[in-house]
Amino acid sequence: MNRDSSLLEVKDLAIHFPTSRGVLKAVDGVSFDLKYGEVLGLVGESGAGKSVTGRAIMKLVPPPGKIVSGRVMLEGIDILTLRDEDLRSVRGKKVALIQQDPLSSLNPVFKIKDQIMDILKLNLGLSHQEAYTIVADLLKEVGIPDSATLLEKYPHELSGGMRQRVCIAIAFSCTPLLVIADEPTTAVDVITQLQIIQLMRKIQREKHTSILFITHNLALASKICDKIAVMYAGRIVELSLTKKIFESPIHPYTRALLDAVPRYDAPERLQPIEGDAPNLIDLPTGCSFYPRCREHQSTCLTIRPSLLEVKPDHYVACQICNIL
Amino acid sequence: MIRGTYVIKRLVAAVLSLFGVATIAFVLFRIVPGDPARLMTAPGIKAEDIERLRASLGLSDPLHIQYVNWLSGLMHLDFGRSYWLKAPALDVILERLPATLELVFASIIIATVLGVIIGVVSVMKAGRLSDKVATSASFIGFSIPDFLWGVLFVIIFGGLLKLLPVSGRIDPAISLKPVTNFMVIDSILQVNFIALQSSLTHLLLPSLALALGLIAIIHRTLRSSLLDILQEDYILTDRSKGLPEWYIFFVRAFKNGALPVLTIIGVQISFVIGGSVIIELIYGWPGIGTLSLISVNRRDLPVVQGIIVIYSLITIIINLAVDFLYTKLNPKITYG
Amino acid sequence: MRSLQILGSKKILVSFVILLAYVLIGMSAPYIAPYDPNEQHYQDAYKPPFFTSGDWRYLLGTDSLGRDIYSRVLYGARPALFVGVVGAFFAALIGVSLGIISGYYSVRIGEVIMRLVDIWLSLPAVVFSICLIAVLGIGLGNVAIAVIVIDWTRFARVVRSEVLNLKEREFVLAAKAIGMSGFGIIRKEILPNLLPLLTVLFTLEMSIAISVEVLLSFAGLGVKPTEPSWGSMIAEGLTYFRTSFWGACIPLIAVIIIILALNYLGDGLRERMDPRLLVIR
Repeated sequence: MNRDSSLLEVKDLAIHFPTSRGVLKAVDGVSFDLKYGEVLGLVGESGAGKSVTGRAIMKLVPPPGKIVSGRVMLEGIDILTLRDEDLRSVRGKKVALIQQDPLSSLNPVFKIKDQIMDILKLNLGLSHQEAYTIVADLLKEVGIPDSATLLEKYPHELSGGMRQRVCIAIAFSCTPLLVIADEPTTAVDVITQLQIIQLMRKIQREKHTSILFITHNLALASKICDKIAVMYAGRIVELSLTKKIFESPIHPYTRALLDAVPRYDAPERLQPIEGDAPNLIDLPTGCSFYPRCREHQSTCLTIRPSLLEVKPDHYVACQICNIL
Repeated sequence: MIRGTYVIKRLVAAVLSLFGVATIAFVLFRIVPGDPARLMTAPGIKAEDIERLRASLGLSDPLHIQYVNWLSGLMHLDFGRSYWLKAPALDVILERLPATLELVFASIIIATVLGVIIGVVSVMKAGRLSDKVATSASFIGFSIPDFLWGVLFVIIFGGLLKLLPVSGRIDPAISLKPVTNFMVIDSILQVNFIALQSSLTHLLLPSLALALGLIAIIHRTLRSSLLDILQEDYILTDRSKGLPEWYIFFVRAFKNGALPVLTIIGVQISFVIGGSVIIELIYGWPGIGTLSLISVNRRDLPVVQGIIVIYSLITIIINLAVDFLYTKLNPKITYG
Repeated sequence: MRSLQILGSKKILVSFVILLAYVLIGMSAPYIAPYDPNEQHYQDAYKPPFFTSGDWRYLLGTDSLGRDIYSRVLYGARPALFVGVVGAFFAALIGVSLGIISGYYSVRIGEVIMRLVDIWLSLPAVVFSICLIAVLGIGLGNVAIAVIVIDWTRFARVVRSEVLNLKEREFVLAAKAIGMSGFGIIRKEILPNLLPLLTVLFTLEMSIAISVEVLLSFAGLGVKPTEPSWGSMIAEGLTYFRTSFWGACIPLIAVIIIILALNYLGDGLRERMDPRLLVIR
């Protein structure tokens, strides 16, 4: 595993949803790389396309959504071209998913033990005993020392925090190369949120797993992500190291986002972002942020900005910012 | 034990239900025009003799005494003596009960198996032609009442195509020792394949007629519940684990989807049992349905009352069984 | 979406036309039937319909007593529709009233009524109706009574749960706030909102009531033996089905058509009136 080589390369991913009112472009040309052991945050408001992008990496886009173009290269192989049988050896083992709501993401009528051990037994062919040992260790790692009782329980019998730990354990059970965490802390309280984040950081460092951390919470992303990609209306508008995003944000949307977040050291009035959420069926030509941008110019309407390296390791999709 | 109290509560409710039913059965026939004693005797018999007959049947006792006798008899499993058949009413009923039970169970089994198969096919081919055909067929199967299906089958398979027998439980020429009085079971126990084949072919049409409505409901319920479940987050989790699709569908999704189907079967049981009466009439099936028709005509009160109680008992027992099966499958329900 | 609407109204239209046709036939049977339904022609018994026998005198053939099946089928609409309308109407009346009471007023009364419904439902419907007829005697009115007594629970249950829902809705709470009496609220706010549901239930109830009439007449417990009814025709036709199945088949088809029409009507109305209840297509 070459430290600097890319585990995941997403190129020009486009995902469309046909609706009765037209084609909804949920993801409209997204490209990024993820190295081994790196944590990349995919940040944006609801509807920005981050969850759908995450799903596409496992080729699990919910119907009627369709991946219309692009490539998802995992260790050099395009996932999108794989057949179902080959896909199944990727899912769970090379790439794993943690969803937002641990209650709805666990099957209510099966015990926890069935839902944790199933990958190990069905896909890796381990025996019950072997799987059990692995699972017991795993649960200890996520902070559940007494696994025996827990495994016999049903999802509704656990607290929200325990359930999320179980989901994390499930995701890491086959030591995947990449974990897609889709808003993993949104459904839990703030204190548990921090615990979960710390837990994920710990496991990530120990196992050298890459994480695609999807969230709408920029501050949360900063606690775990090495890099952050800011998404808006299905496109990436800014991509850089976390430090740089916070210290020197370039794209007007990123800057507006940071202004909208309450900071203890700058207690002035919050500055919400004006304007309406983008209409993904009827995107404007040119820059999709144009209607809400405080610094737009007429040229922004005509030309669609591509993601360019404006400073070393700092990519921005903005006409004006390129010139600066 | 939480589960224990649930069980007791349900049993108590069941017993109370039975009491209610027994009372209704009792009351119904005490307000009847049509004196059983008179029906049993030839015209021209003297009034005093009829009165004596009535007294011997217990019909001239005051009503509340009759009621108390009836209820206390029930608790000792004594349903009284049949006016006509000179035997304890319970024995008369029990002799014919296996025939009805065989019919009802066969219908439930056929309905569940076929309903589930067609439901699964509908889900796998949702939106396509086979699904649309299945849904329309379900609608028709559900709308047309069971006894009309019974008649239709007699006409088509018995009259037009002459494929299947439409009368009785078994070919009268075959001799089978009545052990359990369940023809199919007896044939298997005595390793009599001719009898087995005959009993099965005789059972087919009546139980299918009874089953059609239930097949349709099971199909519809399973289809809609499975389609909903397949969109759930936990199914996405299972897919993201790379589990095989057949496992996700038939084990993970199915267990969730089966729950509403089980509930609906419980609801429909009483309709299946009710429909069996006329089906027995159409197919000359010697069960308690035909017995009830005969007994009502003859005002054979003990038998009629007993049959009403037995029918309710069957319904209640099957409902309890379905309820318990449900609590076993759904871990969220452990108490009433 | 649009095709769904058209389909919905096509269902309604066709079913309603069929229902209307049956009603008209039933009402005008004495005028349009070629023969008296009880008139027997012994020498012409067991005749099949005209397309098989070529005999145009008896359009749909004759039964075992030589009675004209076509005329009898026309007349058979009368008892069926009578029970269908009267039975469904009064079952609705009782069921809806009890449903509203148990839903709107105190919870205790509601629980008691629902217990009653549960016990009622565990009674074997068919056996019970047979017993009722035995008690009351044969006759259409009693058949209607049997329908009402047995099936009011269908309305009660559904109406109760719907009223429980409606009770918490804003317009009811608003009416309460301005001091409207319970009865007024029921009349002005709840009943109008129940109407779509009731229409659907009524059509289904009609189809069930007709089934009951046919069933009881089939068992000899419905109409008087002198009156023609589809049920008794089917029973009679079954006695000779091996020689000619038309005797049973014709009335069977007549029943099936009206029952299917009523069910399609209910289904179409349900789709049209409440988008929440749209069947998955």
